[in-house]
Amino acid sequence: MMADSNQTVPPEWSRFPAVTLAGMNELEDRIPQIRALGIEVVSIDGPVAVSRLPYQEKLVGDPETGVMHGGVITTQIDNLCAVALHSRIGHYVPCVTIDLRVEYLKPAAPGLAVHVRAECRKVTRQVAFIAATAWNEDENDPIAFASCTYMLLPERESTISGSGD
Amino acid sequence: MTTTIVDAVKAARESGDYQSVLESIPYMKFLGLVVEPDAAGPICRMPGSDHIIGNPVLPAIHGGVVGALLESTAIMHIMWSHESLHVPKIINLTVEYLRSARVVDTYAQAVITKQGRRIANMRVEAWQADRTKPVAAAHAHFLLPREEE
Repeated sequence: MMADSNQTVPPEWSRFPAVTLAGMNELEDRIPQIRALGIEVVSIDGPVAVSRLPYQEKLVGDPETGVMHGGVITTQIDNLCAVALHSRIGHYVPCVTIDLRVEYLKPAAPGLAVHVRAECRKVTRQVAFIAATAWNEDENDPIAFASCTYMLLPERESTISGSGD
Repeated sequence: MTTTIVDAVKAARESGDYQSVLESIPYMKFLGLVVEPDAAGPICRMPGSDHIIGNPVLPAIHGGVVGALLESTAIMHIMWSHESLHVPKIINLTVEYLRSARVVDTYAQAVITKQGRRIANMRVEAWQADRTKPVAAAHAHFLLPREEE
């Protein structure tokens, strides 16, 4: 793993609330689409975050096989990349996705939860680069690889409604 | 294994109405997608709704959902273009996010940029009120079934 742990956090980022796992899941719960998919952030540790999405019939993309729609995993990955970025920085700096590439190595197994691990590999003042892997039961048997680029918007007001309460 | 989707695609090729194909795919139904016929291929419309929001403050549609709309539109296009009676398997998808997607009607339409025997290269664009100002664009590869039954 090649985390850029030597970087310092610019002072203008510290004005945003500090990241905790409990706070992260509270925040996730305020995002309607994340709540609708039932995504839970399982762990955050520096630049690395892991989330879990339970298998659900309503998320099936191929009724002949019961495999969940690729778009569900795209959403789980996009969301977790922001989580990893925030965990890496330690503060909820507003950000937006500018580019996301997902490689679907094999179909997600019907009936099983999807886990994603995202790692923020590099942060500059304006851009962050995050890599992610998805799997069902065995991280060494991945179902998807992804790379994601986020733009940081520290000049924007916090996008966290009611944060810090 | 149910063959509902194959029956639905066959029926749609007769009638030209692909909404029942879309509704046999649970996640597309979950997003509330509506197929609007067009000579160049199906236009998928995603109505603005609370459960697709990714940023409640702006508010804006979740980026992953925009990706899902683009992928779904490519899938519908492949089934519409007589390339597959089944849901084609996605190989990869690259999404460029161009503008914040407001929580209003979002449209997407795909083109097949290269058609091989086994693989289709797709380009998809999503827009809202103004088609000349896309909110996102994607290119993707899909694996086609070896034959049409």
